[in-house]
Amino acid sequence: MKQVNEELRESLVELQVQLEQERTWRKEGDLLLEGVTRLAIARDSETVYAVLVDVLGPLLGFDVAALFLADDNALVSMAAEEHSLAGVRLSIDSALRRVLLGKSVAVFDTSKQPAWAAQSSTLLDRVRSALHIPIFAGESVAVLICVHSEKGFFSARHTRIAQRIMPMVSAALLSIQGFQLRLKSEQQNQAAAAVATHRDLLERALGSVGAGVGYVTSADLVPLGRTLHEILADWKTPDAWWLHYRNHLHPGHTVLINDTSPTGNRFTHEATLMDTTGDDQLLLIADVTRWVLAEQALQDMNAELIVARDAALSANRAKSNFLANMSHELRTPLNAIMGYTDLLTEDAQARKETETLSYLEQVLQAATQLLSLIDDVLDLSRIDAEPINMHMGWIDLDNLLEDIHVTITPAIEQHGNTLRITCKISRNKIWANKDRLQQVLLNLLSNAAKFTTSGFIEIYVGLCHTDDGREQFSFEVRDTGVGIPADRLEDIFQPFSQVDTSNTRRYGGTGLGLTISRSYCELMGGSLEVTSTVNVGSIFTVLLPATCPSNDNENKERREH
Amino acid sequence: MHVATADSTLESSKEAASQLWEQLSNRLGNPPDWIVVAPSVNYDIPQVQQTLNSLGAKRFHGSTSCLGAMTERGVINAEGRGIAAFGIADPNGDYGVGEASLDATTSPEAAACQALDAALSDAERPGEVPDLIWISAPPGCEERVISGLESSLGAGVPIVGGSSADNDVSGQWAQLTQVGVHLNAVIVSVLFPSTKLHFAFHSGYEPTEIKGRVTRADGRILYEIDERPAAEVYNDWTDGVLQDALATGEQNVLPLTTLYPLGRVVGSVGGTAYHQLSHPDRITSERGLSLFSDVEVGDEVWLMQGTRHSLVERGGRVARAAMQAGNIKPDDIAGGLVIYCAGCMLTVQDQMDDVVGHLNDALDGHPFLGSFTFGEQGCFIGGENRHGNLMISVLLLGNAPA
Repeated sequence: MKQVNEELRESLVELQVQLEQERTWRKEGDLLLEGVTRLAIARDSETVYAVLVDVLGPLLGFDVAALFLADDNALVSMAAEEHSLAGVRLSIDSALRRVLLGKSVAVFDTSKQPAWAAQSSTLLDRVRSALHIPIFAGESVAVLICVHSEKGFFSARHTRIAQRIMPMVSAALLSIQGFQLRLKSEQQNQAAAAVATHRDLLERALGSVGAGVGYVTSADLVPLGRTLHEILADWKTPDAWWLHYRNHLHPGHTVLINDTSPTGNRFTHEATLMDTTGDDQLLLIADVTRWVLAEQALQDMNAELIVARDAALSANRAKSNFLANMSHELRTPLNAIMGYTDLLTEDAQARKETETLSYLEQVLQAATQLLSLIDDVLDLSRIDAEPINMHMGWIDLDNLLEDIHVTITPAIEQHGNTLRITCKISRNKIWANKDRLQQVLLNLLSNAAKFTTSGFIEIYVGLCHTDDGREQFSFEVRDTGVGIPADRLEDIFQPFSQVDTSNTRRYGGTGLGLTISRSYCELMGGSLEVTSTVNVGSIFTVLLPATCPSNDNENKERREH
Repeated sequence: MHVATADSTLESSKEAASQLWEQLSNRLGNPPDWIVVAPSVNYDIPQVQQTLNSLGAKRFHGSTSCLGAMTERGVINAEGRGIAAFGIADPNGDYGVGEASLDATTSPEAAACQALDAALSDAERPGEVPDLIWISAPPGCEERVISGLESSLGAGVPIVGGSSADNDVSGQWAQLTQVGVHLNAVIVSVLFPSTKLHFAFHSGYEPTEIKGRVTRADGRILYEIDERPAAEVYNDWTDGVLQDALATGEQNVLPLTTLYPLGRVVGSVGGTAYHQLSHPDRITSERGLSLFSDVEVGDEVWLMQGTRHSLVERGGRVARAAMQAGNIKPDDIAGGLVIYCAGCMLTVQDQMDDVVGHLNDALDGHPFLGSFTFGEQGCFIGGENRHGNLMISVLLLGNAPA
């Protein structure tokens, strides 16, 4: 069983990790596609730069970024005068040479990297880490340098993203005027080769996010690379897809196409048509069938869960209403029985009929137990059946503990136990519903008193923190009693449950107290947990938020179903 | 990138190191750019270091391993003696190894930073962020070594490695590099490979429902849980695993606690928590517990449980997790480095051939070197670099370009 648990747990973690990774990749892919779309229609280097900073900012989180161009032996900043990297000139060393050859390089400490270490201390105070991203356009190379004031800010994650972005930016730069002019001065075959290279880069970049790309004329769709072929494998040729759906597509818009392919497979394609500076248009197609199906499956599953939940809630409410009504019906005659028993007891006492008195005491005791059971059932059914007004407010801790001490002491001493109250917090006001908290603590103490003989019972009040750092009041009711087996620890919070059914007879109680106590704790925004060791004792811990909710409505009352 | 492993159980340190070098050179076809060496302490470590240097090893990162090591060919242990190595020939990548001694004037944090700078200089990549850091250190200061590295590099670089070990916890462990041999030093390798890296860090243990809060602790001594002596609490939690030791005053409890370490939640994925483990090794005079990793007051500790079966299978499962993290198949692997807790190894020593078998199944027979360590360092799923006990750390070098 341990092995199965371990494997299940591991599979769950791996599944969650994969989902998380897919979400991250999808988010990065979306941002990259958005960048491709915007860069493809950029007309000048300023627009390219603005788009780059817009697209890369959320992905890389840098303070500032600037484009650098290489001259003979240095990278020179192209940033405007007011920019913090204006005028920076970095000598090309082995690291920057690698950048110029196409590798992104992250520097965790600029004071240790030779090209940066030669800069002024004023600059290095602002630039403690840097990321260098090469951008190719024809034979020209630019370097986008992103910087951060924190040492060690950039990591392998950033260089990985940079490596994926690089081809996209390079392809976009090819289409802007400045680079086109430069390209025109080159030999025709060199230009063709450069275009082919960068089309390949664009294809690789888009392929990495599951999208295919092609150029379209009026009747032809010419895929770049193999990704588009793979996406359109169900069609005889990519042209067939284009001819069928081109009327749905308009430049600058992304369209979702849901249909059945010629081979009978359902598909969903996300298609974006973009104008270029030339006569051609660029078509991006992403196959999102898997995502759409997964979303649909998730929605179906959610709908089923909602129906099941509503049915369960409805049944539970009906049951609770029935119990509440029944309990009222039971309580009314019982009050009459107890009242008349009281009267008869007074008569019997006056007449000194000891035998009758003994019978009447038994009747009264049984009736009192029955009333207690009915009260518990009523409490529980109220919690289940309808919204409970949990009037919260600041209550005085000293008074609460004093009241509890006075009330519970006789029960504690009944089995020779000693009660200790320890309060480790300095503040005296806590945010709770006094009556309910008192009811919970008295219930826990009364249980401790029942299951402990000649031992110690303690209320320990302290402060602790949740995983996300929020303060909580902790009320621990500790005893040195019989304890609870580990496999029954959760069962005891189930209605009508006791550790051992014989306990009901031996120790009394309805088996509802802990269910009610946990519900009240949760209604107060807290929790009730237990740890226990058999023959050593138990610790029941009530955790309540140490601060009141800021929301005004919640401040007045907490309403829960 | 080419990867190969080598091993020897020859008695002579010089001959064993020569055999390693010969095997690596033959299997790689080129001189290795980076070597990881895992000798048992029976070898004359200075002799091993001198021999590798004299044969022309450019750089190596060595740390002693408990009772030998393991490779894809099996467990390398002849009466407690064994040495194995893992070599990479990667002309398009960069690698560097640096070292720094720990002494009264050099804190573990400072030593880690010195060793990092030396490694980056050796790789000729000063100031640059490596793809991964591989570390070795003597038991006792691993958290501070990781903290030192993160203070310099930031927390985004995965740190993987293992603590030096000897055969009987008598403190004979050692570290070696192409520069020197040490009994108490931090060794750091920086990896800038030409191909992708994938890694995973797991334990073979499951959390139970039993937990408590540390109410008194100092470094690696856990004095109290829930304001009671930690050894007594632990004994209650485990239904009396320490009963005899507490009664007789026996201090060494290492073998008793291997299947029931203490765990702390490091992070969670989709609501499922994952844990860093601490292995109790000794009962203190105040009935506290000495651990192989630091704890702090306020930490919530869970009783974890493992089985021999899970320890045997786990190496292969962690290797698969590393592949899954990179979404790669065995064909995409060049080779791997495995850090396997010596405590786990001693618990399943008679089934170590099965451990190797599971690793070979997962890695489809690709070369790997496994060291048996007294502390494991790795990078969890959420990106947290941690030191833990009874853990398994796997680093895989891929074939695909970085």
